[in-house]
Amino acid sequence: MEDNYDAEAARAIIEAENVNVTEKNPLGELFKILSGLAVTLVCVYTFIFLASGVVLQTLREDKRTNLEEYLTKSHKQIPIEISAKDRKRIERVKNKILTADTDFPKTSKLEINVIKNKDLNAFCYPNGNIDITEPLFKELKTDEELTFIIAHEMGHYKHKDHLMHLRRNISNAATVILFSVFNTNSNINTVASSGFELSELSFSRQDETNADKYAINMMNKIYGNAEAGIRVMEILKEKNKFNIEFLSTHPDLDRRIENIRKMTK
Amino acid sequence: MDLLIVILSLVICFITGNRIEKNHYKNIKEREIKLYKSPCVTFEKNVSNSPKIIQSDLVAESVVIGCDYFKSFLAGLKNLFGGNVSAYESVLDRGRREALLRIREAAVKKHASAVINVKIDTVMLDPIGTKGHPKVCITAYGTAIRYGR
Repeated sequence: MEDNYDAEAARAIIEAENVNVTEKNPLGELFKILSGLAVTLVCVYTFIFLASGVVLQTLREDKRTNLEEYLTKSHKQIPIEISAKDRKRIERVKNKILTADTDFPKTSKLEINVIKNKDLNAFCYPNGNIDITEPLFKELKTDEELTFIIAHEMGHYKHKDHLMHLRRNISNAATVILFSVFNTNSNINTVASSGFELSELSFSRQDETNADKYAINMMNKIYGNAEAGIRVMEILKEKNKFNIEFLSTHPDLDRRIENIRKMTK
Repeated sequence: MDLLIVILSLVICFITGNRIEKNHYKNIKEREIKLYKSPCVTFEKNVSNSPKIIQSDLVAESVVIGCDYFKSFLAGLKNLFGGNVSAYESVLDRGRREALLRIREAAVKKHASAVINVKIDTVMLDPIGTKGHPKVCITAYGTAIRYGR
Protein backbone atom coordinates (compact mmCIF):
# COMPACT_ATOMS: atom_id res chain seq x y z
CA MET A 1 0.00 0.00 0.00
CA GLU A 2 1.35 3.42 -0.88
CA ASP A 3 1.99 6.11 1.69
CA ASN A 4 -0.31 8.75 0.25
CA TYR A 5 -3.31 6.47 0.60
CA ASP A 6 -6.17 8.48 1.96
CA ALA A 7 -9.03 6.23 3.04
CA GLU A 8 -11.42 9.12 3.60
CA ALA A 9 -10.93 10.56 0.12
CA ALA A 10 -11.28 7.08 -1.40
CA ARG A 11 -14.51 6.50 0.51
CA ALA A 12 -15.94 9.83 -0.67
CA ILE A 13 -15.26 8.95 -4.31
CA ILE A 14 -16.56 5.39 -4.08
CA GLU A 15 -19.65 6.29 -2.08
CA ALA A 16 -20.57 9.03 -4.55
CA GLU A 17 -23.54 8.60 -6.84
CA ASN A 18 -23.29 5.64 -9.17
CA VAL A 19 -23.87 6.78 -12.74
CA ASN A 20 -24.42 3.23 -13.97
CA VAL A 21 -27.52 2.71 -11.88
CA THR A 22 -30.63 4.87 -12.24
CA GLU A 23 -31.95 5.86 -8.86
CA LYS A 24 -35.59 4.82 -9.01
CA ASN A 25 -37.98 3.52 -6.43
CA PRO A 26 -38.72 -0.01 -7.71
CA LEU A 27 -42.09 -0.15 -5.92
CA GLY A 28 -43.19 3.14 -7.45
CA GLU A 29 -42.09 1.94 -10.86
CA LEU A 30 -43.96 -1.35 -10.41
CA PHE A 31 -47.11 0.53 -9.45
CA LYS A 32 -46.81 2.85 -12.42
CA ILE A 33 -46.34 0.01 -14.92
CA LEU A 34 -49.10 -2.12 -13.38
CA SER A 35 -51.61 0.71 -13.58
CA GLY A 36 -50.63 1.35 -17.20
CA LEU A 37 -51.07 -2.33 -17.89
CA ALA A 38 -54.46 -2.42 -16.18
CA VAL A 39 -55.70 0.48 -18.29
CA THR A 40 -54.50 -1.23 -21.49
CA LEU A 41 -56.13 -4.53 -20.52
CA VAL A 42 -59.42 -2.88 -19.64
CA CYS A 43 -59.47 -1.05 -22.99
CA VAL A 44 -58.77 -4.22 -24.98
CA TYR A 45 -61.30 -6.18 -22.91
CA THR A 46 -64.03 -3.57 -23.33
CA PHE A 47 -63.46 -3.41 -27.07
CA ILE A 48 -63.75 -7.20 -27.50
CA PHE A 49 -66.73 -7.33 -25.14
CA LEU A 50 -68.63 -4.69 -27.09
CA ALA A 51 -67.68 -6.24 -30.43
CA SER A 52 -68.90 -9.69 -29.35
CA GLY A 53 -72.15 -8.09 -28.16
CA VAL A 54 -72.71 -6.59 -31.59
CA VAL A 55 -72.01 -9.96 -33.24
CA LEU A 56 -74.43 -11.81 -30.93
CA GLN A 57 -77.14 -9.20 -31.45
CA THR A 58 -76.96 -9.43 -35.23
CA LEU A 59 -77.19 -13.24 -35.02
CA ARG A 60 -80.53 -14.60 -36.30
CA GLU A 61 -82.81 -16.35 -33.82
CA ASP A 62 -82.25 -19.84 -35.29
CA LYS A 63 -78.47 -19.33 -35.42
CA ARG A 64 -78.50 -18.29 -31.79
CA THR A 65 -80.51 -21.37 -30.84
CA ASN A 66 -77.94 -23.50 -32.69
CA LEU A 67 -75.15 -21.79 -30.77
CA GLU A 68 -76.95 -22.42 -27.49
CA GLU A 69 -77.42 -26.10 -28.40
CA TYR A 70 -73.75 -26.36 -29.27
CA LEU A 71 -72.69 -24.80 -25.96
CA THR A 72 -74.98 -27.16 -24.06
CA LYS A 73 -73.69 -30.29 -25.75
CA SER A 74 -70.24 -30.16 -24.16
CA HIS A 75 -71.64 -29.89 -20.63
CA LYS A 76 -74.58 -32.29 -20.92
CA GLN A 77 -74.90 -34.74 -18.04
CA ILE A 78 -76.89 -37.96 -18.09
CA PRO A 79 -80.12 -37.61 -16.09
CA ILE A 80 -81.26 -40.27 -13.66
CA GLU A 81 -84.67 -41.95 -13.69
CA ILE A 82 -87.20 -40.37 -11.38
CA SER A 83 -90.64 -41.62 -10.40
CA ALA A 84 -93.73 -40.59 -12.39
CA LYS A 85 -94.93 -38.67 -9.34
CA ASP A 86 -91.77 -36.58 -9.18
CA ARG A 87 -91.92 -36.00 -12.94
CA LYS A 88 -95.48 -34.75 -12.62
CA ARG A 89 -94.46 -32.50 -9.74
CA ILE A 90 -91.69 -30.92 -11.80
CA GLU A 91 -94.03 -30.36 -14.78
CA ARG A 92 -96.66 -28.86 -12.51
CA VAL A 93 -94.18 -26.38 -11.04
CA LYS A 94 -92.79 -25.52 -14.47
CA ASN A 95 -96.26 -24.81 -15.86
CA LYS A 96 -97.10 -22.66 -12.85
CA ILE A 97 -94.05 -20.46 -13.52
CA LEU A 98 -94.77 -20.30 -17.27
CA THR A 99 -98.35 -19.24 -16.57
CA ALA A 100 -97.14 -16.57 -14.15
CA ASP A 101 -94.52 -15.25 -16.59
CA THR A 102 -96.09 -14.90 -20.04
CA ASP A 103 -92.98 -13.15 -21.44
CA PHE A 104 -90.68 -16.14 -20.94
CA PRO A 105 -88.69 -16.72 -24.16
CA LYS A 106 -90.32 -19.41 -26.30
CA THR A 107 -87.01 -20.59 -27.74
CA SER A 108 -86.22 -22.45 -24.55
CA LYS A 109 -86.67 -26.23 -24.49
CA LEU A 110 -86.97 -26.13 -20.71
CA GLU A 111 -86.38 -29.82 -20.02
CA ILE A 112 -85.92 -30.27 -16.30
CA ASN A 113 -83.88 -33.29 -15.18
CA VAL A 114 -82.39 -34.67 -12.02
CA ILE A 115 -78.73 -35.70 -12.20
CA LYS A 116 -76.46 -37.74 -10.00
CA ASN A 117 -74.03 -35.53 -8.11
CA LYS A 118 -72.97 -35.24 -4.50
CA ASP A 119 -73.37 -31.45 -4.28
CA LEU A 120 -76.52 -29.46 -3.61
CA ASN A 121 -76.84 -27.53 -6.81
CA ALA A 122 -78.93 -26.72 -9.87
CA PHE A 123 -77.80 -25.35 -13.21
CA CYS A 124 -79.34 -23.80 -16.26
CA TYR A 125 -77.82 -24.72 -19.64
CA PRO A 126 -77.46 -22.25 -22.50
CA ASN A 127 -80.44 -23.87 -24.31
CA GLY A 128 -82.70 -23.44 -21.27
CA ASN A 129 -82.54 -26.99 -19.93
CA ILE A 130 -82.28 -27.22 -16.17
CA ASP A 131 -80.51 -29.90 -14.11
CA ILE A 132 -81.10 -30.34 -10.41
CA THR A 133 -78.74 -32.55 -8.44
CA GLU A 134 -80.26 -35.55 -6.67
CA PRO A 135 -79.42 -34.47 -3.07
CA LEU A 136 -80.94 -31.02 -3.62
CA PHE A 137 -84.04 -32.49 -5.23
CA LYS A 138 -84.52 -34.75 -2.21
CA GLU A 139 -84.17 -31.80 0.15
CA LEU A 140 -86.92 -29.83 -1.61
CA LYS A 141 -89.94 -31.18 0.23
CA THR A 142 -92.62 -28.71 -0.92
CA ASP A 143 -93.69 -27.40 -4.32
CA GLU A 144 -92.88 -23.87 -3.17
CA GLU A 145 -89.25 -24.74 -2.56
CA LEU A 146 -88.96 -26.48 -5.92
CA THR A 147 -90.59 -23.47 -7.57
CA PHE A 148 -87.96 -21.19 -6.08
CA ILE A 149 -85.08 -23.27 -7.44
CA ILE A 150 -86.60 -23.74 -10.91
CA ALA A 151 -87.64 -20.09 -11.14
CA HIS A 152 -84.11 -19.03 -10.14
CA GLU A 153 -82.59 -21.09 -12.96
CA MET A 154 -85.25 -19.92 -15.44
CA GLY A 155 -84.33 -16.40 -14.38
CA HIS A 156 -80.77 -17.05 -15.61
CA TYR A 157 -82.14 -18.07 -19.01
CA LYS A 158 -84.53 -15.15 -19.20
CA HIS A 159 -81.81 -12.64 -18.37
CA LYS A 160 -79.59 -14.25 -21.07
CA ASP A 161 -76.86 -14.75 -18.49
CA HIS A 162 -75.37 -17.55 -20.57
CA LEU A 163 -74.79 -15.18 -23.49
CA MET A 164 -73.24 -12.54 -21.22
CA HIS A 165 -71.09 -15.24 -19.68
CA LEU A 166 -70.02 -16.32 -23.16
CA ARG A 167 -69.13 -12.75 -24.09
CA ARG A 168 -67.12 -12.27 -20.93
CA ASN A 169 -65.32 -15.57 -21.46
CA ILE A 170 -64.48 -14.69 -25.07
CA SER A 171 -63.19 -11.27 -24.01
CA ASN A 172 -61.14 -12.74 -21.15
CA ALA A 173 -59.60 -15.42 -23.32
CA ALA A 174 -58.92 -13.11 -26.25
CA THR A 175 -57.30 -10.46 -24.05
CA VAL A 176 -55.09 -12.96 -22.26
CA ILE A 177 -54.07 -14.65 -25.54
CA LEU A 178 -53.36 -11.31 -27.22
CA PHE A 179 -51.37 -10.30 -24.21
CA SER A 180 -49.34 -13.51 -24.10
CA VAL A 181 -48.38 -13.07 -27.77
CA PHE A 182 -46.53 -9.87 -26.86
CA ASN A 183 -45.27 -11.06 -23.56
CA THR A 184 -43.66 -14.39 -22.78
CA ASN A 185 -43.41 -13.86 -19.05
CA SER A 186 -45.91 -16.38 -17.72
CA ASN A 187 -46.09 -14.78 -14.27
CA ILE A 188 -47.47 -11.58 -15.70
CA ASN A 189 -50.04 -13.56 -17.65
CA THR A 190 -51.02 -15.26 -14.40
CA VAL A 191 -51.60 -11.90 -12.77
CA ALA A 192 -53.70 -10.68 -15.72
CA SER A 193 -55.85 -13.81 -15.90
CA SER A 194 -56.33 -13.89 -12.11
CA GLY A 195 -57.66 -10.36 -12.28
CA PHE A 196 -60.15 -11.47 -14.92
CA GLU A 197 -61.19 -14.47 -12.85
CA LEU A 198 -61.98 -12.22 -9.90
CA SER A 199 -63.98 -9.84 -12.08
CA GLU A 200 -65.83 -12.80 -13.61
CA LEU A 201 -66.78 -13.99 -10.09
CA SER A 202 -68.14 -10.56 -9.25
CA PHE A 203 -70.27 -10.57 -12.45
CA SER A 204 -71.42 -14.08 -11.62
CA ARG A 205 -72.60 -12.96 -8.17
CA GLN A 206 -74.53 -10.11 -9.79
CA ASP A 207 -76.22 -12.61 -12.14
CA GLU A 208 -77.19 -14.78 -9.18
CA THR A 209 -78.70 -11.82 -7.36
CA ASN A 210 -80.77 -10.93 -10.45
CA ALA A 211 -81.92 -14.54 -10.84
CA ASP A 212 -82.94 -14.52 -7.16
CA LYS A 213 -84.98 -11.39 -7.76
CA TYR A 214 -86.75 -13.04 -10.68
CA ALA A 215 -87.49 -16.13 -8.55
CA ILE A 216 -88.87 -13.97 -5.71
CA ASN A 217 -91.15 -12.11 -8.15
CA MET A 218 -92.47 -15.40 -9.50
CA MET A 219 -93.02 -16.72 -5.96
CA ASN A 220 -94.89 -13.56 -5.04
CA LYS A 221 -97.06 -13.90 -8.16
CA ILE A 222 -97.82 -17.61 -7.69
CA TYR A 223 -98.03 -18.07 -3.92
CA GLY A 224 -98.30 -14.52 -2.65
CA ASN A 225 -95.00 -14.75 -0.72
CA ALA A 226 -91.42 -16.01 -1.08
CA GLU A 227 -90.99 -17.63 2.33
CA ALA A 228 -89.98 -20.91 0.66
CA GLY A 229 -86.93 -19.16 -0.76
CA ILE A 230 -85.66 -18.53 2.76
CA ARG A 231 -86.15 -22.22 3.60
CA VAL A 232 -84.13 -23.21 0.49
CA MET A 233 -81.32 -20.86 1.55
CA GLU A 234 -81.36 -22.34 5.05
CA ILE A 235 -80.93 -25.81 3.54
CA LEU A 236 -77.99 -24.60 1.44
CA LYS A 237 -76.49 -22.79 4.41
CA GLU A 238 -76.56 -25.93 6.51
CA LYS A 239 -74.53 -27.81 3.89
CA ASN A 240 -72.05 -25.05 2.99
CA LYS A 241 -70.43 -23.98 6.21
CA PHE A 242 -67.40 -22.26 4.72
CA ASN A 243 -67.88 -19.58 2.16
CA ILE A 244 -65.73 -16.58 1.30
CA GLU A 245 -67.83 -14.25 -0.79
CA PHE A 246 -64.89 -12.57 -2.52
CA LEU A 247 -63.81 -15.91 -4.07
CA SER A 248 -67.22 -17.38 -4.74
CA THR A 249 -69.59 -17.55 -7.73
CA HIS A 250 -72.65 -16.97 -5.55
CA PRO A 251 -73.36 -14.14 -3.11
CA ASP A 252 -73.23 -14.77 0.60
CA LEU A 253 -76.25 -16.85 1.67
CA ASP A 254 -77.15 -14.49 4.52
CA ARG A 255 -77.28 -11.63 2.06
CA ARG A 256 -79.51 -13.67 -0.26
CA ILE A 257 -81.87 -14.45 2.64
CA GLU A 258 -81.96 -10.77 3.51
CA ASN A 259 -82.85 -9.92 -0.10
CA ILE A 260 -85.71 -12.41 -0.06
CA ARG A 261 -87.02 -11.01 3.24
CA LYS A 262 -86.95 -7.52 1.76
CA MET A 263 -88.81 -8.48 -1.41
CA THR A 264 -91.34 -11.02 -0.17
CA LYS A 265 -94.86 -9.71 0.19
CA MET B 1 -54.66 -18.85 -5.77
CA ASP B 2 -52.08 -18.32 -8.52
CA LEU B 3 -52.31 -14.58 -7.97
CA LEU B 4 -51.70 -15.05 -4.25
CA ILE B 5 -48.57 -17.13 -4.92
CA VAL B 6 -47.23 -14.52 -7.35
CA ILE B 7 -47.87 -11.65 -4.91
CA LEU B 8 -46.36 -13.54 -2.00
CA SER B 9 -43.22 -14.44 -3.93
CA LEU B 10 -42.92 -10.86 -5.14
CA VAL B 11 -43.02 -9.53 -1.58
CA ILE B 12 -40.56 -12.13 -0.28
CA CYS B 13 -38.16 -11.66 -3.20
CA PHE B 14 -38.35 -7.88 -2.95
CA ILE B 15 -37.28 -7.98 0.70
CA THR B 16 -34.58 -10.65 0.34
CA GLY B 17 -33.31 -9.29 -2.99
CA ASN B 18 -32.99 -5.80 -1.58
CA ARG B 19 -31.12 -7.08 1.44
CA ILE B 20 -28.72 -9.19 -0.63
CA GLU B 21 -28.05 -6.26 -2.97
CA LYS B 22 -27.38 -3.90 -0.09
CA ASN B 23 -24.95 -6.34 1.53
CA HIS B 24 -23.21 -6.96 -1.77
CA TYR B 25 -22.77 -3.23 -2.42
CA LYS B 26 -21.42 -2.75 1.09
CA ASN B 27 -18.93 -5.56 0.54
CA ILE B 28 -17.89 -4.20 -2.90
CA LYS B 29 -17.39 -0.68 -1.54
CA GLU B 30 -15.24 -1.90 1.35
CA ARG B 31 -13.02 -3.88 -0.97
CA GLU B 32 -12.79 -1.00 -3.44
CA ILE B 33 -11.67 1.35 -0.69
CA LYS B 34 -9.04 -1.15 0.38
CA LEU B 35 -7.69 -1.47 -3.17
CA TYR B 36 -8.16 2.21 -3.99
CA LYS B 37 -4.58 3.04 -4.90
CA SER B 38 -3.11 -0.21 -6.01
CA PRO B 39 -3.21 -2.06 -8.25
CA CYS B 40 -4.59 0.39 -10.73
CA VAL B 41 -6.64 -0.82 -13.61
CA THR B 42 -6.38 0.55 -17.11
CA PHE B 43 -8.02 -0.30 -20.40
CA GLU B 44 -4.93 0.93 -22.27
CA LYS B 45 -2.39 -1.40 -23.81
CA ASN B 46 0.64 0.57 -22.65
CA VAL B 47 1.22 2.80 -19.74
CA SER B 48 3.23 5.72 -21.00
CA ASN B 49 6.35 6.82 -19.14
CA SER B 50 6.30 3.56 -17.27
CA PRO B 51 9.41 2.13 -15.69
CA LYS B 52 10.71 -1.22 -16.79
CA ILE B 53 8.23 -4.09 -16.48
CA ILE B 54 9.82 -7.07 -14.77
CA GLN B 55 6.87 -9.43 -14.61
CA SER B 56 3.56 -9.88 -16.47
CA ASP B 57 0.77 -12.35 -15.86
CA LEU B 58 -2.71 -13.01 -17.19
CA VAL B 59 -5.46 -12.40 -14.69
CA ALA B 60 -8.96 -13.55 -15.64
CA GLU B 61 -11.89 -13.82 -13.27
CA SER B 62 -15.58 -14.28 -13.86
CA VAL B 63 -18.72 -13.67 -11.89
CA VAL B 64 -22.12 -15.21 -12.48
CA ILE B 65 -24.85 -13.00 -11.16
CA GLY B 66 -28.59 -13.53 -11.29
CA CYS B 67 -31.46 -11.24 -10.51
CA ASP B 68 -34.28 -11.93 -8.11
CA TYR B 69 -37.89 -12.69 -8.98
CA PHE B 70 -39.07 -9.17 -8.21
CA LYS B 71 -36.49 -7.61 -10.52
CA SER B 72 -37.19 -9.97 -13.40
CA PHE B 73 -40.93 -9.44 -12.92
CA LEU B 74 -40.48 -5.68 -13.03
CA ALA B 75 -38.16 -5.92 -16.01
CA GLY B 76 -40.62 -8.22 -17.80
CA LEU B 77 -43.37 -5.65 -17.34
CA LYS B 78 -41.07 -2.87 -18.44
CA ASN B 79 -40.20 -4.87 -21.54
CA LEU B 80 -43.80 -4.65 -22.64
CA PHE B 81 -43.75 -0.87 -22.88
CA GLY B 82 -40.04 -0.36 -23.48
CA GLY B 83 -37.73 2.14 -21.88
CA ASN B 84 -34.88 2.15 -19.44
CA VAL B 85 -34.91 -1.17 -17.58
CA SER B 86 -33.42 0.17 -14.38
CA ALA B 87 -34.13 -3.06 -12.50
CA TYR B 88 -31.30 -4.84 -14.33
CA GLU B 89 -28.82 -1.94 -14.08
CA SER B 90 -27.84 -2.55 -10.51
CA VAL B 91 -27.37 -6.28 -11.19
CA LEU B 92 -25.00 -5.60 -14.08
CA ASP B 93 -23.20 -2.88 -12.14
CA ARG B 94 -22.62 -5.24 -9.23
CA GLY B 95 -21.38 -7.93 -11.60
CA ARG B 96 -18.90 -5.67 -13.36
CA ARG B 97 -17.52 -4.20 -10.16
CA GLU B 98 -17.22 -7.64 -8.58
CA ALA B 99 -15.36 -9.01 -11.64
CA LEU B 100 -12.96 -6.03 -11.65
CA LEU B 101 -12.36 -6.43 -7.93
CA ARG B 102 -11.58 -10.11 -8.43
CA ILE B 103 -8.86 -9.43 -11.04
CA ARG B 104 -7.41 -6.72 -8.84
CA GLU B 105 -7.31 -9.10 -5.91
CA ALA B 106 -5.68 -11.73 -8.12
CA ALA B 107 -3.12 -9.13 -9.20
CA VAL B 108 -2.35 -8.27 -5.59
CA LYS B 109 -1.63 -11.94 -4.94
CA LYS B 110 0.87 -11.84 -7.83
CA HIS B 111 2.47 -8.68 -6.31
CA ALA B 112 1.53 -6.73 -9.43
CA SER B 113 1.28 -2.96 -9.32
CA ALA B 114 -1.14 -2.53 -12.23
CA VAL B 115 -3.49 -4.43 -14.50
CA ILE B 116 -3.35 -3.19 -18.08
CA ASN B 117 -5.33 -3.95 -21.24
CA VAL B 118 -8.41 -4.91 -19.25
CA LYS B 119 -11.46 -6.23 -21.08
CA ILE B 120 -14.91 -7.01 -19.73
CA ASP B 121 -17.14 -9.56 -21.43
CA THR B 122 -20.77 -10.25 -20.63
CA VAL B 123 -22.53 -13.44 -21.58
CA MET B 124 -26.22 -14.08 -21.05
CA LEU B 125 -26.61 -17.53 -19.49
CA ASP B 126 -30.38 -17.66 -19.44
CA PRO B 127 -31.86 -15.37 -22.07
CA ILE B 128 -35.19 -13.69 -21.35
CA GLY B 129 -38.01 -15.69 -22.79
CA THR B 130 -36.68 -19.05 -21.69
CA LYS B 131 -37.76 -20.45 -18.39
CA GLY B 132 -36.07 -19.19 -15.27
CA HIS B 133 -34.70 -15.80 -14.42
CA PRO B 134 -31.97 -14.12 -16.40
CA LYS B 135 -28.43 -14.55 -15.17
CA VAL B 136 -25.26 -13.15 -16.65
CA CYS B 137 -21.68 -14.29 -16.58
CA ILE B 138 -19.32 -11.32 -16.49
CA THR B 139 -15.66 -12.02 -17.22
CA ALA B 140 -12.90 -9.51 -16.68
CA TYR B 141 -9.38 -10.19 -17.87
CA GLY B 142 -6.18 -8.28 -18.27
CA THR B 143 -2.42 -8.36 -17.85
CA ALA B 144 -1.09 -7.91 -14.36
CA ILE B 145 2.30 -6.22 -14.51
CA ARG B 146 5.01 -5.48 -12.00
CA TYR B 147 7.41 -2.59 -12.42
CA GLY B 148 11.08 -2.82 -11.65
CA ARG B 149 12.43 -0.41 -9.04
